[in-house]
Amino acid sequence: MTITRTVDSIYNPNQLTRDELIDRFVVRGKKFEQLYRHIHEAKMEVPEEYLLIIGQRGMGKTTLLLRLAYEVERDPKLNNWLIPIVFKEEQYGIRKLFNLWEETAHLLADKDAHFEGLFDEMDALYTNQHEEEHYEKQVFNLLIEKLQTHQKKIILFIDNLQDLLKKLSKQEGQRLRKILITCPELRIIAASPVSIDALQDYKHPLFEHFKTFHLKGLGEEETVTLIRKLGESYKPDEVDDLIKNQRARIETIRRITGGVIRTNVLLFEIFVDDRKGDVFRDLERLLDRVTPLYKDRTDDLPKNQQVIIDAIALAWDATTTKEIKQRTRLESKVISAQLAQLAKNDWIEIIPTNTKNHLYRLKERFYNIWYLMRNGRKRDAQRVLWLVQFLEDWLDENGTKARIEKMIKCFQLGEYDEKGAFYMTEALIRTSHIYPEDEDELLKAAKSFLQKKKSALAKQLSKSDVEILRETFQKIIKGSNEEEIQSQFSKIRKFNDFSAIIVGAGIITDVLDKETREDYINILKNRLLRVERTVNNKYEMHGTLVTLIAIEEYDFLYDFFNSDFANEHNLKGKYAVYWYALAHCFRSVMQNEYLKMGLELEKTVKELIESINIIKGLPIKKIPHQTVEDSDK
Amino acid sequence: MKNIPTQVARNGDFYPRPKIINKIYRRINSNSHIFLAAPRKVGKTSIMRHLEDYPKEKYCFVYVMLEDVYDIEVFYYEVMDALMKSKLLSSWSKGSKTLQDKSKSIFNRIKQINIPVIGGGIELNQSDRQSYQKKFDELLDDLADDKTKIILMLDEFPQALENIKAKHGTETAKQFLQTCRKQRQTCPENVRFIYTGSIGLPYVVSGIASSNVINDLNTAEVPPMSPESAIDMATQILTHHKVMHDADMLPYLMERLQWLIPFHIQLALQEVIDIHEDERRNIIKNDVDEVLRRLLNYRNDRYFSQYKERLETAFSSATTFNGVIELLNDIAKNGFITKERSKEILNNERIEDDYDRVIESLQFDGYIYFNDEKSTYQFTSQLLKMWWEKFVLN
Repeated sequence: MTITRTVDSIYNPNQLTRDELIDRFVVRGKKFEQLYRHIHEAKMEVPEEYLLIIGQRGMGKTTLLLRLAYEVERDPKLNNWLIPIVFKEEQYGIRKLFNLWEETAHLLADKDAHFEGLFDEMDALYTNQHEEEHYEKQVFNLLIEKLQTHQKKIILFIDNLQDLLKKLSKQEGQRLRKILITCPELRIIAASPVSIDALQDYKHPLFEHFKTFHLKGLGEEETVTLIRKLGESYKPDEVDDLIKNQRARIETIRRITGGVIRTNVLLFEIFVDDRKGDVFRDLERLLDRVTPLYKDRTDDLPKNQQVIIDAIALAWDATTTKEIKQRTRLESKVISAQLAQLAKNDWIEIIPTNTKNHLYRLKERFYNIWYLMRNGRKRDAQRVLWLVQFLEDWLDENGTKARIEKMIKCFQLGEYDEKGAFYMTEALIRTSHIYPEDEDELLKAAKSFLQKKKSALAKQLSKSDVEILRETFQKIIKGSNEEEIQSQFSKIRKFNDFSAIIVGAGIITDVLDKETREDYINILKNRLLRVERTVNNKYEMHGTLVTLIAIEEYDFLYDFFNSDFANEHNLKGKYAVYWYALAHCFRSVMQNEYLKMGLELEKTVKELIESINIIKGLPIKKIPHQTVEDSDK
Repeated sequence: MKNIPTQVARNGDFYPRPKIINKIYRRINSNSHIFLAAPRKVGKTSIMRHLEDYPKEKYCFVYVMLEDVYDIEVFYYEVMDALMKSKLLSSWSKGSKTLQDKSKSIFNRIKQINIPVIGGGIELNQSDRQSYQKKFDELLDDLADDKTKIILMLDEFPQALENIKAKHGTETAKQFLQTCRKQRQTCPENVRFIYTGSIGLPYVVSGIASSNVINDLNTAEVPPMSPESAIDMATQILTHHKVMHDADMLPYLMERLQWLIPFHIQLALQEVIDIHEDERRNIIKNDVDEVLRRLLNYRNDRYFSQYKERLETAFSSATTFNGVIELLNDIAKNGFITKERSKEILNNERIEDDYDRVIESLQFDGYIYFNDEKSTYQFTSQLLKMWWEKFVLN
């Protein structure tokens, strides 16, 4: 098959035929069903609910609207009486309410021959601009009469509803409300990239008149499904290879871009064309692609807002008015007014804290990353690169596999500490990237090693999932009761993430024999200071941090991250994921700090906390707590 | 029964509210004209549409929406147009010879009336305006009948009045109010008016004329739902949406919501339905806190902050505004306020407005209600109280 179009155009909903769009609609299935149920079940005998889809640019709103419209067209229960009318994304020609009915007449005529000439009839009624209010009522009545005559009803699919509502006068808004609650012949299903003020304003006539549905970013599986679908019409072999072997790369970028469909599609093209590339190069190319769009949006802002956006973007994490003031040198009054405006226009979000000072953060996280990389100083850009590096390590299953292979080799050669072998194995089998067969092999090797050493720990090793499954099948064959089988299934582990836990566990076993908790902690603390100065310290540093959080050395870590040493090396930025994991665990003191976290970190920090909890579950409590008496001795 | 928080509930989606409906019938039977009082989203329009869709025998309700009316002629036109499209004329045309004649004459009379051509500063002259009013007066006379009660339900009348005042000045609005009063007094006994709207009629009238022009109206308040009805309605909705839930979930939800207006119940149910659709599981009592948290989060600042902003408009004097904030803070902190304490805060020496007017206004706009049992004022909505605590008090 010859590729004549770019992937971007392949996925541009406005350039697709009906069949193409339906065929390529592979994500957002649940949202589609939910929305379509509202259409399919409605008889429109009385005015029905009006629906509004909200999602940031590129989230798939236009595609979803089109998909709904096409479904109405092919639904035999609806298509003999209900006509979907799809408006273009940008409606420059609509400046008044009557323009909406005129445009409806045009589009209606394209769909159904009964309505040919309707616009001309409307046009003949127009006299002059002083009588537009009167004209609007006439053309609307005409439209409704025609629909009634032909026993048809319509659904208007309107993209960018926020722009349309902005153009309407107060009186037109009131008129529209009246139509919405009294006219069963038409229904509106709309989309908007921002929450619409008018709909949340008690004083506005359209207050709460649309049922709202929010589109969130794509999840991990949905992203892969999307890429797989794109691969059907663009370099299938390369795509297959990408999905099989480079999941970490896909997932890294997904988390950074917040799962925005359009960005994912751009990314797809980069991935497939540059299979040997790395995630940094992906990021660079993606940034180049979005630069014109983001630059225009930034340039369009008034000057003071640009300065404030600069301050918030460079802070990356949520920031306070005081910090913005420090950076911008603007007066507090000016900042507050502009912040309100920016929040209104959905540039920023406000995070309430338990004090009077709210926190402010850029809403579109990938824009923030673009800003840091393109407009920040070297130090700012560095923070993004650290995050990318971290994510790639975190998500890379190959790293885990290599570690397992190395361990098995050591077991076979008999070169391992007994306790170390036990705990490392137990930790590794709880990570999420481990394949069942690798897990089984590792456990077998560990068991055989411990048995050779005549260690009692051999008996305490967990069973592998493969073994549990095997036993379960045996029970099924023998005819055990369902409860027994269920309990057997429940033993299968829920896999968790990351090599940090392994290193953490390794460190624990390493120092487990130490006499007191104080000795143990001192080792960790010294390690923390030492490793930051050495090269190739990545895993050790991560492992040490995880362990210190797991043993609840919060005060120490809090002071450590705020020390001159940490500031000098920008450790809060470099180990942001740990800083926020600490903030989560140390909520009593760091509640507001946790609120500052960017959404791109949310999932990763949660996963890290799960790992920390696993370490907490290991028998580290054996380390005796140093008591006052101890220290007195 | 579908969950439709954002649209007027009709037919099977309307949950019967016999208390207020019977109250309206009682007042009509005692020949009163009614002012139906309630803030936005309490269900006024649904109640009126229900009266219109399912009237008792020998009653005919005609619903007219006046929100976008800026001219008196348009007001008359809209009412006559609604009458022409109502079931009344078609039922009369099938009745006795007299009724048939009457129906024909009314139909012809209305048919001759066009949409008034108004806009862009062009004013109708005095005689044009009078002709609309005259036709309307004649029409009212035509409606006289000893068998059928005809009730004209004028929704968003206070808004129309404000619009007319803004466009044509206070004097025109005043004359209009006087004319309406005269029409109520002189119209046939079987014709009654129900006025309603989401802004308080007395409040709008106070800026135009003396309250005498509306003192003939009998006020009927739309009460919140009882916990039993609220639970029953919610059960029907969740059954329709196939949501499984524990028996103690809904009673607990209603206990937390406290002010049981259909809109807030439906918003909460929407979150319940969403959780069920996302997680495919039974909804339990413990989920209620999450439901309320989501409600506050999603509709957070901008949704509830309207409540605070509205106070700034309603109480333009700074002393009154600060007094009201202090009062609501006190209620949020303690859960209630006694009359005595509220009088201390809204003391005449401290605020410019009248204590009664301020309290009435807060009650009408749905901020607080008077708990008869405890003799205290409380937040009507638990959601609003939670928001107030989180965003204003802190």
